[in-house]
Amino acid sequence: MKNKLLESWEETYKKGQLTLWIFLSLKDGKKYVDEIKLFISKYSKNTISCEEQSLYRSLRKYVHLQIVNYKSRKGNKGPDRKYYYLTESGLELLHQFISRNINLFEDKKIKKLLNEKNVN
Amino acid sequence: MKKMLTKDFYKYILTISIITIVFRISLSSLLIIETWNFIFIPPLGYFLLMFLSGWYFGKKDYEYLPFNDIGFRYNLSTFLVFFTISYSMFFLGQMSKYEPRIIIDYTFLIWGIVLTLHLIFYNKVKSNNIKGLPKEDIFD
Repeated sequence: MKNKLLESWEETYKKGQLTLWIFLSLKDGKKYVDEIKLFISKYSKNTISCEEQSLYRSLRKYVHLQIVNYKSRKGNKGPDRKYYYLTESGLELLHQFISRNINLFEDKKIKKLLNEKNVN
Repeated sequence: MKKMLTKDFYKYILTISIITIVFRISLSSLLIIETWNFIFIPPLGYFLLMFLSGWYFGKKDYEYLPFNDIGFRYNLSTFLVFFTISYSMFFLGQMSKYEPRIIIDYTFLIWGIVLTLHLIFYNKVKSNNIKGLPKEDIFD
């Protein structure tokens, strides 16, 4: 029961998380799709997984909205690779999102509540 | 609207232009030689091919980027292609005597009304979009 509840909660929670992880990986530096995938699975400790197709689809939307852009560079083999990066407005959007939604967890009281196991 | 012109959309326009030219020429040719038994073939073929083109390229286009335009781009482009070709053929004297201008004019009028209604609905839907993409689908 507990596990099922946790799975269900996590499933809902993870929806919408992909954008944040994509943006964080691009803030880290220009990357092509495989590198973005690697970054996400490494730093999310495999809690966030993404299909290559959905990653491409998301990136196309962000490029269209001009919050992400790319430069084509030659890969080791085969066709050119698209190296994605955050544009200025993408970076600004990420910072706004972090300050409004993520930094809340930096509050002392909330931090304490997150780390405490007992109910006060 | 300019931002919503994708590769697949251009391919759709090219495809329907070819289909419309073939339709117009084949229909006029059959009418000129008065082959009444086969006259149903060009409009039927035209309807089927246009439907399949819209379905195929519309699906591909949506998979590429999920634009929320309730098909208005496709309706408008089909309208423009159809009447550009039809009026061009008429003024170039390539149509039969059974295709008077009034038929094209009436079709233009009726389709024009439908297109205007489509535009009104599209403008309502558009307010929920950011650069053509529905707000709720951007960060899904």
